[in-house]
Amino acid sequence: MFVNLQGADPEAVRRIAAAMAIAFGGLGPALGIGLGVKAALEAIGRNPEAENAIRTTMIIGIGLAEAVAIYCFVVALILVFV
Amino acid sequence: MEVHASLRAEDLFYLGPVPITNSMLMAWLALALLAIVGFLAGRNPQLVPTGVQNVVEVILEGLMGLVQNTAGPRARRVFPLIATLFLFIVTANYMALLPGVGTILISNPKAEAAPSSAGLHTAGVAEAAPLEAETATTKKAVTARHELAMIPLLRAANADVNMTLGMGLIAFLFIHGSGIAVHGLRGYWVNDLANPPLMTPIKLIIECFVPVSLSMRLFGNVFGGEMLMTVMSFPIIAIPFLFMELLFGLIQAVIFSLLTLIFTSLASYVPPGHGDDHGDAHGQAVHLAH
Repeated sequence: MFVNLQGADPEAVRRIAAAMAIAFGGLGPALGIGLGVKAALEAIGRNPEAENAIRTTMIIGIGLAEAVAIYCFVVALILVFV
Repeated sequence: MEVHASLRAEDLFYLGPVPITNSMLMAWLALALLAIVGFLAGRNPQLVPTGVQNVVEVILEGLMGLVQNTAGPRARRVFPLIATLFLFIVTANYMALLPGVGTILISNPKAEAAPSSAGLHTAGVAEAAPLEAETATTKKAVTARHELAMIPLLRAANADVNMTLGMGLIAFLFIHGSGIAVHGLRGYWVNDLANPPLMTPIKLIIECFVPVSLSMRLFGNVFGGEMLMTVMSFPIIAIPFLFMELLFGLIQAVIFSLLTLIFTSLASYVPPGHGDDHGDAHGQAVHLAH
């Protein structure tokens, strides 16, 4: 069930780990951003006058959710380049 | 296709013991640009603004509206730092899209010092030699791998972790300095950090994580954008990615400055109608400070 990594080339394992880091790290933020935008769209639909405030808050929320993906991206960069 | 990228900003020269990186050079250029625009805008201030003064006033009034929405009465005190963070990050991110950034190469001053890497004449990452070396000392192999012969002269200012971490630390000091200035050292601890006393360790960890998250978010976005542009540097295919870079550069600047503003407002929050004499003294202090 588990892959036997004994004697494997560390460079190759590093690359695979980097790919896995960014692949799994992108799932959560993608879902989170989708849900956030969905809520913002519903709010704009109910109250079109508050569009500016809703849009600004949505952008901030998207930035925060995306930061988690960026953390995984930075880990992947560290794996590949350091 | 070989991707020439280095996580660390490359050193160009030394000022005494301090290395000056290409990102630092770009940050100085952004600083110079902002200083020149500011000087031109404020040279002969007119009551009815025209030209450069008009543009700058539009930008600053927009920012002030945003800050006043969140900060309320403290808006004028926090505005200089928030606006500076926003303007600097936007300028640095947009200047990184100019032609010449990342493409003008100079010879690496360190490549002459290390004879083992003098044989690297390509701008790519050499992997053949270190892989055959002892795998037990992969760290030595990795450091030898990154002594490239040619390094870019300019690199996005925020693609250096030192830059973003520095700004994050400034934001951290500003947030807690504001909290201490408003509540007093003991008041800040008792009211905000130790409010449910068992939450103190968690709150301390969260507070220490804020500058890390601010800096890593900005660094990841800008460095990832740079690598994306390096990979997608084909004539017509690069256009949508350039638009994405424009959008994300602006969004990241907004997020950095607005998050600093929000944390500052949270730390310096005084409930309205806290006490009449307390409110008066607070108001007087604010007025005297101007």
